[in-house]
Amino acid sequence: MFRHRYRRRQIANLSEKIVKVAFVGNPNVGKSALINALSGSNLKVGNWPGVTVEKKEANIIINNQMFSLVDLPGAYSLNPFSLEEKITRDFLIKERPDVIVNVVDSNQLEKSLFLTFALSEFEIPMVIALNFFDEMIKNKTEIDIKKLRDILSIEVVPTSGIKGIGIDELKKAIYKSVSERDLPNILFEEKLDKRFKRIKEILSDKKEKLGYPLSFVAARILENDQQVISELNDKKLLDKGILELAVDNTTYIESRYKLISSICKKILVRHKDSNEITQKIDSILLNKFFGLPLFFIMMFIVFKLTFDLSKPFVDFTSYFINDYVGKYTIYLLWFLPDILKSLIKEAIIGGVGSVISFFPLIGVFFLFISILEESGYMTRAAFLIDKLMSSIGLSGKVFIPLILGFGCNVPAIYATRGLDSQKDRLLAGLMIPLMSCSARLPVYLLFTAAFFENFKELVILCLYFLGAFIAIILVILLQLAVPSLKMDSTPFILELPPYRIPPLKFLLKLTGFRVKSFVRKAGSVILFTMILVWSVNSLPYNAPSGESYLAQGSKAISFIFAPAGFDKWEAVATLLPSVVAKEAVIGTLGQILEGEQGNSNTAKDSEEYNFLSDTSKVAVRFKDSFIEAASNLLNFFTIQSFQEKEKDEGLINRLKTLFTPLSALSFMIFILLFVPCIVTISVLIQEYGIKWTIFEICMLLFISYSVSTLVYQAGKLFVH
Amino acid sequence: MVLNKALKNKKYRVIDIKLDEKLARRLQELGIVKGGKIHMIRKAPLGDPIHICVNGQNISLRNSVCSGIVIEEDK
Repeated sequence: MFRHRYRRRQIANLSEKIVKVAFVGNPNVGKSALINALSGSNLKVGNWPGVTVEKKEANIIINNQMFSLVDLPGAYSLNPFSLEEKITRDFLIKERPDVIVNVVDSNQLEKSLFLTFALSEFEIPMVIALNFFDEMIKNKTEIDIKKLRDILSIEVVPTSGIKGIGIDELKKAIYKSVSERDLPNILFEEKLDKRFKRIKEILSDKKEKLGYPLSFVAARILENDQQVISELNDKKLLDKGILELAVDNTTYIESRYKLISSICKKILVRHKDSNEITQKIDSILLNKFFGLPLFFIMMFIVFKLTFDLSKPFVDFTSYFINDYVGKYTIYLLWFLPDILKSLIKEAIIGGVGSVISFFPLIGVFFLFISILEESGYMTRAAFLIDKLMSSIGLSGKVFIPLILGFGCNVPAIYATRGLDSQKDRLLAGLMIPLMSCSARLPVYLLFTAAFFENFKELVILCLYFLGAFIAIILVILLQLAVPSLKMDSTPFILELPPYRIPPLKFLLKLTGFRVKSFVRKAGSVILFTMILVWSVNSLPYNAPSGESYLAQGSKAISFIFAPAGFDKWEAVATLLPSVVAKEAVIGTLGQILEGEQGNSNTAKDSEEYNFLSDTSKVAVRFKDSFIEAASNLLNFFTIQSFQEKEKDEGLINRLKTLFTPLSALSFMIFILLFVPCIVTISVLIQEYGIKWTIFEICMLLFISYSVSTLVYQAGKLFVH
Repeated sequence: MVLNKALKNKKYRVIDIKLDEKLARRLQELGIVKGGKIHMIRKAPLGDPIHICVNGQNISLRNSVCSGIVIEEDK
């Protein structure tokens, strides 16, 4: 209470204006960890509007002043090459932050200073955070901080976001640079400096009309940046003579590098090659012979751990929500009519449950992905596999999301965020739904058990390959058809950052934020679909399963599927529920087939309510899921997901009346290629927008229908 | 010669960059400039891309890009 009041007073004393602080740096310099260390628990993770680039923000208070910290995407320069760099540059120009914190990797000062110099042209007060300073000391390198400060005329603070070093000093420096508003020196070699000053002089009377900071414009003219020059020419702001002062951009960059290396000679002493450890690890992990096998082992481990560790908890959560929370919510709502109870239990609680049951999966997954990313291995993986992926016009990094898609499409689509180009991101996102996820496996298992008992592994394997094969064809065709996705639009330049051990606390926190954002965004779409599917499936209420709206609709449209071989309405009726979750195909089939035999009186009404014993059951299951996860870890090399559940002979026999082996194959192919589940769809919307999602859905409808028709018709030629 | 022909673990000097302007610029920003040094470290197991070291920074480049970077041995 007291603390609360204190906090209110503190906020009341704040000046009205919120100071905007932009964090800018090369990729892999530890910006996020630094913001995290500065902000404590206030970090927010979201997306930049309209794109799948992650945006991290936090508000902090220093000396009664509110500061809003924004983590700008990593950039090597501000002459935008990638989407990330464009976002960063646009932010600096349009939002005009009050301070720039330039985060620099102390171990790679030469490279980092190039960006620092580019930032100085924006005429914004600046602070340099020499990050990974502790590592630098370990590497026996010395930087003369005072000299660097004098040369650039800005505050330079040694920090380590991971270890929490220099955080208070950085806060003070930020505060100081806001109040004193000192601008950084803009440095050039002598010859260029004269030209730069002259250009500035000429432009100075048009300063207000430029739309950019004066020094920024002067520097762009100096390096002959055609884009900015033509923009100013259109506004008739350039005198003819001014362009004679320009040099070409090669000269400009070379001169900058010369200046940087001469500065580094003055302030930097290296007693040891800081790359030594990284190079040793690389000589194993990137080895000509072991590199690829190690990569596949690593992928296998991540894949197995993600799905084996999370599966018991996923099962537990869905049991907890549906069989415990759902059951007792209905019990407490005894006064409602049955139809509403069914709606609440099956659609609403079921929908919430299906979102929540993804928590453990996405949590474990994000944790592993961030470990791969933050440790520096992810870019190595891309390096190793790049050649394979480049043959279909993608970068090596795309391989990882695609592989994850075989486990679950949802985290796989999230993994595309780590890709470097918007093109790779989109194409990977469109490919992933064709990767046969583990929820489709039970459907294959049931159908192969019924129709292909003797060679079911082969059939299942072929299905997996078919999905991947179609995805590859699709990507090649899309690149041919859509001009903006042409093959050579992204030259593959990859930095291989030094290996680092990422701080667990930071990883966990980031994971937490990402899971939260999944819930917020996925929730509404899923709920809507659940209610829709419930309505068609359960209405008119208490009708036998052959007369629900779903059944009536299926009967009406089942003729459409005759060319693909499965025009029985019972099969068609599973398609809509399969959008809720792929494995729902089995449940729906079971329900319908049982219903037809007239024994639909399931245990529904005879449910027992014993709160205590049910609660203890939940506790036991919770404990069991830990044990199961642990035993999954121990039985690492057994293939869990292929283990069959007990066979439902009755269902299998009834299936044989509905399908022939050929139409069963065609049906499995259809389920493989059909519209992905609703959680995947909602994540697609979240990451790529509604337009691309609709495009993907239409395309999948077309592909699934035509491929299964093709298989069925071709098969018929052989069977006859 | 061009960077594709570089031998493992040898050092080279950049003589020229013959690539389209945007790409050349990016390489320059990463420190691959005329007169600058390149340490060829290895090829990927599948032969493409290559792994080089420039200014103490590890970079991976595809062969298609390397064929536009003219180098000579650094003695």
